[in-house]
Amino acid sequence: MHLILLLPLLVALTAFFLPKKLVREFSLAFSGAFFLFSIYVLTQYNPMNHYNFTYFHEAFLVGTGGSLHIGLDSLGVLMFVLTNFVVLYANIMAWNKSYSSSFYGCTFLMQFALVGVFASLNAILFYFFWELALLPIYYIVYKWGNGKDLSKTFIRFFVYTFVGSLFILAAFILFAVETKSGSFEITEMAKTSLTGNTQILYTIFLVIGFGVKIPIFPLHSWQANTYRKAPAEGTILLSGIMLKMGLFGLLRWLIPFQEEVLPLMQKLILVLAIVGTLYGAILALRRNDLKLIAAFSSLSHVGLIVAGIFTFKFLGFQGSGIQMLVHGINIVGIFYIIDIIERSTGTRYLTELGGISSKAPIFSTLAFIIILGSIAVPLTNGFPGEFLLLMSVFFYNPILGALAGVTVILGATYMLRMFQRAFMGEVSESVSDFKPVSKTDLIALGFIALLVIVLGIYPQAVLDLTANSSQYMTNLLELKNN
Amino acid sequence: MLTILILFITGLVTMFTSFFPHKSLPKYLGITGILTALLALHLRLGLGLDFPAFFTMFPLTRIMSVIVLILLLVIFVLQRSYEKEYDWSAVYSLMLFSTCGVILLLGQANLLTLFLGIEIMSIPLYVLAASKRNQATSLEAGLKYFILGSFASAFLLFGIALVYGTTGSFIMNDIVTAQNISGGQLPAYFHIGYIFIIASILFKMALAPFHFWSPDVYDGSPTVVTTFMTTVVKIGSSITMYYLLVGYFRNQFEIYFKFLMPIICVSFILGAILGLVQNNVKRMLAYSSISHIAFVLTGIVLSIALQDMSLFVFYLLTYTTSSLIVFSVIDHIENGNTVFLDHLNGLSKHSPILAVTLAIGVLSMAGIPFTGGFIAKYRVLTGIYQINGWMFALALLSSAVAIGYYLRLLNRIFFYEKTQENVAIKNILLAITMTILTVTIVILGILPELILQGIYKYFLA
Repeated sequence: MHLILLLPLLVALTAFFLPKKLVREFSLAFSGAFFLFSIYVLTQYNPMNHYNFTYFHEAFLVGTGGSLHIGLDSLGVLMFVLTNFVVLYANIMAWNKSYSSSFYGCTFLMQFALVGVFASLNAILFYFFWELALLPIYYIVYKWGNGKDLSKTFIRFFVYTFVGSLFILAAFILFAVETKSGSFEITEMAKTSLTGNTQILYTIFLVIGFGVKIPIFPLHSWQANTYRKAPAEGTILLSGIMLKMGLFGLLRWLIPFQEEVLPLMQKLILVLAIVGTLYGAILALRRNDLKLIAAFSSLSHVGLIVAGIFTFKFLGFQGSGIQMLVHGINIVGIFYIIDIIERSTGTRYLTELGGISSKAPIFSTLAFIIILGSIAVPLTNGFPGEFLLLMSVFFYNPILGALAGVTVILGATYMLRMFQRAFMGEVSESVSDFKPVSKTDLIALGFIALLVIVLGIYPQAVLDLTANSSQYMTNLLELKNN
Repeated sequence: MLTILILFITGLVTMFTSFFPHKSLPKYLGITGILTALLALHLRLGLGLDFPAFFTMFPLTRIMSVIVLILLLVIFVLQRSYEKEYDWSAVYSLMLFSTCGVILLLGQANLLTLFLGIEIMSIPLYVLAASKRNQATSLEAGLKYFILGSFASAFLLFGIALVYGTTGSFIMNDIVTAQNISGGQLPAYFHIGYIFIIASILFKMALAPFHFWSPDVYDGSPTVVTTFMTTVVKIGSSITMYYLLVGYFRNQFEIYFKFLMPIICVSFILGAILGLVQNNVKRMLAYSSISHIAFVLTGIVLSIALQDMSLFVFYLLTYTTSSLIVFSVIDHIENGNTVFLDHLNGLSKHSPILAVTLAIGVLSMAGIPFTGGFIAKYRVLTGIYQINGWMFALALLSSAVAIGYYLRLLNRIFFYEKTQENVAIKNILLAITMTILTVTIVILGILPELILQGIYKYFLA
């Protein structure tokens, strides 16, 4: 097993058994180190060597015959960095909350599973990690969640995602049996192809399976309540990185195996994705709970990414690549802001907030930068991805593109409404004794704000990284269609 | 044969240990007996006690005997004598006798052996089920099991008689030859007899619609007996089914596929749905075992269609191991009364070892990756897909529904506040055994080939 998988597992197992006093420092140190390590892997990554994966070496034997490989391609490397980023922030946010050791153990176990998902080059191995990722997050959200009817909400979350996973398993079994290829290695799978009804079934199964996790429009009903009732760390793990698993799954396990683009399916999924985009944005407009606004904004943003992927264009792939990274960064920032507000004032309802900017000017500035990033103002990191995605959808179908464009306006509306109500105006009762934001929090938020600006000014670094990968997929689809 | 003899003698001796005041004597005697039997199997001692037409040492027999003996050993080791005035020597000796029957079934070459094995396996079980003499539920379980089991035995005997009447022999190879000679033109009596035999074994496996006894018996019996029934006895009856379908009636594939498919499907549905509404943990697990045994039966059918016997052997192995874990933990939690879901509340705070062990056992039953249950389920599912798409969908759906009740169990363990006193593990031997079992389940899930190849190398060398 390569270091990127082995280390988190070891750290997780250690964290479970550490006494409560030590585990906080231990986890923060290791997650920080992992993040630096991931940056190192990123810099070592050779951008010329794209969809041909960088193999590490043999990982497991899982009874499927043959050896299973792990490796990262350019998208995988981005997601690997993002995973470490989100886990680091989960640890930072947990600093003042006196969680028990099992929390930290679960975060690292989560990291192990997520890295596994992004690095698996074998379908069964992928499924293995995909399912494994569900357990620690379930434990975290249930154990430290709050609100009414926890059991109902989280059983719904679990059952939704588990049933989704079974669809994925069904799709892989279908692939293996129909193509008579004994192997689940991606390189072997890419040599064979599905036809006719089998391809339609395979596509439907995978879209449902991944769509639950993303979530795509009609499958989203677990999302809002789960985000709301989960602890802040659980929410950022869910929104920052777990939904990327679904998007990544579409790019890795569905697109390359499309024998031919099926126009009807493509249009159906695109329409659903854009309906989801608008639906999320409209729902976010009138919410009172900050976490719900963020949850619905996430639904909206992700819908656009799915739409971009399913245009099957170079621009769409490029946009989805950068947007997956950026959405991860921004949503972590926004949930972090909400967490700070909740810790300082004891509430996260807009009606009870107001005038934070007069109490905590630096915090408010940083929050504003991150919110601008989420709105996708030019020169912030949200802009390039959103622009590419919208352009790609527009080229596919101008009407859909125009509809999708509406979300930019709606996004600005609900985000600015949130900022206005919470940060501007009269100082409300609960804000009047606003506890000062700690230096750690400011530095952590400042780093996100820095990323918002840096990636906004120089997105080319990310785009260069994913360019060959996107080009590969575009060529593949064009080749198969002609 | 020697193995059976050793177990039988140990059982007899154990029965008389109740004369001695030493409470743990029967336990250690039983463990010694099992270890001796394992040694005899390992050294392949025969002492000239072979009757090939009666009892044959197939490779499968050897593998499964070892597994059965190890399971029995673990049951003995983990046994917690919670009722002091209880006569444990009888329980241990009856379990040993029943295991003799199971091993006889594992090596059957003859319909008479089949009948003998089933009876030797079942009669001690009737007594065991009723062995909590001061509890009405236990007595009810024993009586119910006895009456229904006798019916099943009568069916079995009737079926054997009909098959004997048409083929003229009890011996497996002769029956197959008779079917081959007739070229599928055997009289209808043969098919009736064959259906009677299969139905009685389906009863022993507790598959729908022959399952009605199982929740009551699981619930009423002492937990150690339930453990024994879900592990050792299930292996005995499943392997019997394998011999019936692959040995005695191997030419009737089309007929029995048509006959078994509805049974498998109904078991998937009932096992998943009825488990959802149970508050009694043992009843819930009884329903879960129905759908698991349906998977085993599917594996047996597939082992003929795909020529791969490892499917169902692996499933049986992981299922019995995980249910051994789960039932042993429940045995430790209960205080001689029925275990409801409430009794599991907050177990993780009270006894983390028991909680994690139970959780991994349950996850394996649910078929979550990194446990053996996933690999087993995945392999059977891949097989089913090749046979019938709708059955595949049904099997997946049943796993998805079943996750509902497994999750309820897990939620109780980890997220609920403690409502009553739980028992913590004090004995270090128990902790070690539990850990070994848990690690086994995880290794079966991560490196299944290691264990499978180990088994093959050891026994087929």
